[in-house]
Amino acid sequence: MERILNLCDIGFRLKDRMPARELICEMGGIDRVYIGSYFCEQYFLKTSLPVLEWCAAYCRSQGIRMACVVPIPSQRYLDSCKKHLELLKEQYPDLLDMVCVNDPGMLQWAAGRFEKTVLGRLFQKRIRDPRYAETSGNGAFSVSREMRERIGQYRIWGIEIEGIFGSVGKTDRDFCIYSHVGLCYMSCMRECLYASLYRELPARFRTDTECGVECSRYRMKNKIQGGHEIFRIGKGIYFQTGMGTSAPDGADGVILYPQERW
Amino acid sequence: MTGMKILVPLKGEQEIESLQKAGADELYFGFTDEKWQQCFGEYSDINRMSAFKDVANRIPVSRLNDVVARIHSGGMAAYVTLNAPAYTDEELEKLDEYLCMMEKEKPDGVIVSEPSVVRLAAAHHIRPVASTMCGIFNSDIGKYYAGMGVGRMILPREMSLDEIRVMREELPDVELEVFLMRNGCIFADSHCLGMHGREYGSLCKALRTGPFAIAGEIEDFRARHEMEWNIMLFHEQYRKNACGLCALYRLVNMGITAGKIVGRADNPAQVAEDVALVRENLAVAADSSDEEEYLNRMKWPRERYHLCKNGMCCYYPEVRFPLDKAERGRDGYAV
Repeated sequence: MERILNLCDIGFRLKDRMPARELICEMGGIDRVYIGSYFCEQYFLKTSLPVLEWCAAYCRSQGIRMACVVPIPSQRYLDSCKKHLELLKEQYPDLLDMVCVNDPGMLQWAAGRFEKTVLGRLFQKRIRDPRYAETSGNGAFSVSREMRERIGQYRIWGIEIEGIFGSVGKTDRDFCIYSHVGLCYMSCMRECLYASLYRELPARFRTDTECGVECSRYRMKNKIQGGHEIFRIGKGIYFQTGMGTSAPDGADGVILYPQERW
Repeated sequence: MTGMKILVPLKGEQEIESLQKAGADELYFGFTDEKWQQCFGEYSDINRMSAFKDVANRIPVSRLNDVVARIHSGGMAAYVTLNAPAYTDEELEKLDEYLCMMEKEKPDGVIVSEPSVVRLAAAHHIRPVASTMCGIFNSDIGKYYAGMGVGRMILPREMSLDEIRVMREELPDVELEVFLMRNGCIFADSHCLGMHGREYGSLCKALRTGPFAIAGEIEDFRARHEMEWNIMLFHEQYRKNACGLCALYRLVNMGITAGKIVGRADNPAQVAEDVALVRENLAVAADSSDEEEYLNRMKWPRERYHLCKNGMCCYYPEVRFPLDKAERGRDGYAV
C-alpha cells in the first residue's frame, strides 16, 4: 500500500512552520509527496518550486519520490502552467517522475512527458454531499466507461478517488487506484475568497487579480445542515468523511492530507 | 455585425409561447422520468437540475418529442440537457434509450457533461453541445472536445472577455455560448458536486447563510475586519444575481453564437422579461457604432439598483470596472 503525502494547497503554509523532515516523519511511512494545487493556478505557479525545494533534500535522502499536481488552468494561465511544469521537471528530474492532471486538455499535453501520469480527483464527478448519506459513504467504487477509455488511450498509471468508498473492484486492473482520505473534495471556486483582501471593492473576487498567496494565512470552516462541517482551504471546499484514514478495500494507495497541521 | 442568439431555459411547455414572444431564439430544457429514479435511486440525476424536481423540470419524458416539435413549430431551436456531473455505465445505457427516442423528433442538440455522452449523442446523429459541466476553461480542453466532434460549447461563467476572445481565436470553427443573465453561482459549475436538492437547497446557499469560523492570522483589528468584510461581501452581495448586458457589444463583435440566460428554477415571467431586455440590447448593439455608444444607449436591467454595484454581480466586470495593471495577475491580459 503506497502512502502519499498531499501538500497541495497547504504546503506553502507548512513550509514556514516546520522542517519537511518533521512533517514527513510524523505522517509515517511516506512513499511519495504531492506538490502543486488541485484548484488554483496562482498557487501552483507561486508555491510549487519553494515547496519542492523545501522537501527535496529529505525526500532524496529517503528515496521518497515526488509528483506534481496541476490544476485546471484558465486560458490566461494555460501557457504559464505548462512552462512551469517543464521547469520543475527540468530542475528535479530525479525526484519528479509523476504528474497528476485534472482535465483532458492537460492530460493530452502532459501524458508522455512524465514516467507516470495520474488522473486527479477532479476527474471523478459523482455527486457527494454529506447532507445526503446515500451520496457520501461506504459504497463500492467502479471505474466508469469514460475513465476506462482514458486509461487505455493515455497509458495512465493511476487514478484518484475520494475516501467515501468502502471498496474498489480489483479485477483485471492494470492501473493503480489511490484514495484521498480524511477530507473529501466537494466543490471549488474559481475566484478566490482570500486573494482580494485589502483591495478596493471592484477588485475583489476577480479571477484576474494578482494574489499574494493569502490562502496561506486564512482558512474557513462552515457548518451546514445536519451539523456537517465544511472546510474551505484555498479554493477547495471539503467535508470530513466518516471513513478515517484507511484506504478502501482493493485500493493501491492512500493520499494523506495534513490539514490538522494547517 | 452578426446576430447573437438568445438561449433560454424552459421549465414547462406552457411557457414556450411567452418565451418566443419575448424574443427567445433557442430553448433548452431537462425532463423527468420516474423509471430513472426507480432504477438508479432518488439521488441519481438525469440532468444537473434533476434534484430540484418540478421546480426546474416540469416536462416528463413522455412529452419530450412533443415539446421539441412545439419549439420547432415556433421557429426556435430546441436543446435537451443530459448534463448530470457523471453517469454510471447503467445510466449511460438508459441515456442511450432516451437518445433513441429523440431520433423521432430530433432536437438541435443535447447539452452534455462528459465525453461518453458526446459519443452516445453522435452515435444517434444528434449534435452534442458541451455543457458548463465539461469545464472548458481553456483552448486545450476546447480542442479536446472539438476533436470528438463537439461543434458548440458553453464557456464557464468565470471566464473574462479577454479569455473568451482568445478562445474564439483558438477555436474558430466552434460555436461558443456565453453566460448573459440571472443566477450567478459562486462555485465552479463543472466541479461543484453537492446536491441541488429541495430538502436542503444548494451547497452555496448553505454556506452563505450558515455559521462559519475563520482560522489563521487574524490577531489585529485590521486583519479581522478585512477578512470579515470580505466574507460579508462574498456571502451577501457577490453573484447573488448576475448580468452581462454591458459586455454585449463586445461579445457580439467577437462572433459569439449565443448568450445564455439561466434560471430553470426561476419565475418564468421574470425570465421572459430578461429575454426581452436582451433582445432590446442586441438591437442597440447592432445600431451602435462603437462600444461607448452602446454603453451610453443600452437598457439597464430591471434590478439595476442591486445588480450594478462595484462589479459584484457582473459576469464581465471588466467592462464597467476595469482593473489597473498593478492589480491584474502576471499573466493578465490587457483590458
